[in-house]
Amino acid sequence: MSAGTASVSKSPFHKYWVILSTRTQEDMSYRANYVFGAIFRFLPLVTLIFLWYAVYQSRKVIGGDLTIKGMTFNDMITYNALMYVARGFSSVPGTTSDISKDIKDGLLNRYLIRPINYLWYQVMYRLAHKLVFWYVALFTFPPIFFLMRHYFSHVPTMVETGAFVISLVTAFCIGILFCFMIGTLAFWFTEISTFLFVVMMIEFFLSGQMIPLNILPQSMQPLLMLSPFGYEGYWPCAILMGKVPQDQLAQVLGTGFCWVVVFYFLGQVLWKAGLKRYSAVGG
Amino acid sequence: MPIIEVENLSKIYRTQKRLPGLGGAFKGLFNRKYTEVRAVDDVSFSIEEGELVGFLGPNGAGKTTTLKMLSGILFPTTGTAKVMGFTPWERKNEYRRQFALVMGQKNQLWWDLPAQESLYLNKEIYGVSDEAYRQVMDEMTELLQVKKLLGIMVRELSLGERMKFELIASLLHRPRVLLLDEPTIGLDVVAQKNIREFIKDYNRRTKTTILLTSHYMNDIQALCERVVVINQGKKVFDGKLDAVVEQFSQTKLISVTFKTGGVSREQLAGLGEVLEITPVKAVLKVSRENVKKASNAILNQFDVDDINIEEVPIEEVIERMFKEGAK
Repeated sequence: MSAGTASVSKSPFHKYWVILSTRTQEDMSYRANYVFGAIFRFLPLVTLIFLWYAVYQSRKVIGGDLTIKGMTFNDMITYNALMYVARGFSSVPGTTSDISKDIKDGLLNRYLIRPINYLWYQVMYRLAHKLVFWYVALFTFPPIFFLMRHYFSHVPTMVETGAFVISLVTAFCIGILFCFMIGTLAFWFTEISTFLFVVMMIEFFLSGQMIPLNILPQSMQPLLMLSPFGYEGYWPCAILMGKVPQDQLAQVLGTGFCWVVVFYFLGQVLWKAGLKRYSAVGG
Repeated sequence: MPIIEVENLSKIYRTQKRLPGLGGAFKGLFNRKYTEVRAVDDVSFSIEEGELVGFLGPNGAGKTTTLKMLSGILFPTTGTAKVMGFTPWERKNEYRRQFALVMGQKNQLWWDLPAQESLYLNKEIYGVSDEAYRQVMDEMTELLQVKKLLGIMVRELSLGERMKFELIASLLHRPRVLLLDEPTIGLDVVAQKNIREFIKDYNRRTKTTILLTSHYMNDIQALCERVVVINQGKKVFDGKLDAVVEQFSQTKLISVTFKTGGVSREQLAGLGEVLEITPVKAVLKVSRENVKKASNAILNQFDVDDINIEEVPIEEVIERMFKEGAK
């Protein structure tokens, strides 16, 4: 036996696969937590149904248009239900705070000394969360969607379904890369929780979780349509509901892809600059 | 060629100086004042392959900062370091695959999984082959007596057991250089002894170069022939552990047992500092040059049964060394 005899085996990507599977195993031990989350996360939907019902009723009473910018009451409910699917991909809870904690508490050291890429580590770690989430959701989402079936009026085409799947992948990429970027701010600021709260509120609004982006004022439309946050909620829903004309699908998906690339490189720049600072001032 | 070469390494931290109180906090928002802290100040040393060197110093002396620079976590302010020919802070994967840093209080094991999962993960991260992995695992779990614990959730393990797995996780890839930062901190005496024996044995068998910090003198005494002592960032000693005593202790201890009792403190006071006195026994601290004179005097003046001249315990010497350095 002698030192330094470790030999390299398998492809360099194999380790990231093992991170994914190990974290999935760990996450599975909290599956009860996921089940609760998967069921009770739908409670706000009940409120939303009543709220939008009131809105549409009042329009009926005053004899106004029964659609809001082309959205019927049923569309509105479908949109809010689909938002749960979109958020199931774009939301990566705890990522920003975990990253900033790693930086602040010096836990980053354990990644820096090992032959591993921290961003890819985080991506795998969060992907595992999504896997377990969807494993549980496969049992909880269908019954709820079945109960709501009479709200769904549009049958998506093959193209729309394909575009929807691509938009969900984009949603995950933008979600995690954005969290990563914000998390790296901890290299410069010791306390980012207030800032984080503000950012999350803006993200919440601009992603269309509160109100569908297309019914917001016309003057805001160019900004809303081009913003990266729409890909975290609005676009996947709009695509599957057939609200995006087929000839615009490529442009929408293309813009989303561009945002993924931009966020990736911005994240890398912030990470490298931050690491330089971290290594200079103390770990 | 030495495996670790450190030359004139310095690390200066710039920390914000805050005026006291609420007013100070507000002033600090607009007008920041910084102070410089020399955590490591012009330190040089070199370590040959296979050596086990103790890195000694009080809290805040700069031990951990030095280890962090050697493991590439921190950039130095000035100076150079080469470990196995690599500059650590370039963080080349090739370098990272050949060393390990174990920090006593920082955990790399995944809390909600059995230890074996974390170990397997480390195997993959370092790209250790299945065969080498099996071999190391068999050997280490046997040596550290944790084979039966492999399947237990990490959160249910004791601190000592976790430390053992922590060590195994860091040794899977058979690092050529092992940096240990307080590996026994917080452990009970038995666990400390286990870890200590393992480290010693591991170094002897594998010829892995080990640099170890600890503020338990027992660790250092049991493990290291050579010590590098730093205090307030500066290297104050580098050499054999025994030589510390010679260099820094100006006194020896004389213990005397008397045949007949009744010797008083006053009778001995002129010979040296009386540390301990009972009717039949006394311990005196005497300066090195006076040892001969004092022991002769004792033998002449009293009815002595036994006399013993000893070095001051190393712990005390080093403690004093630190205290003097702090003045």
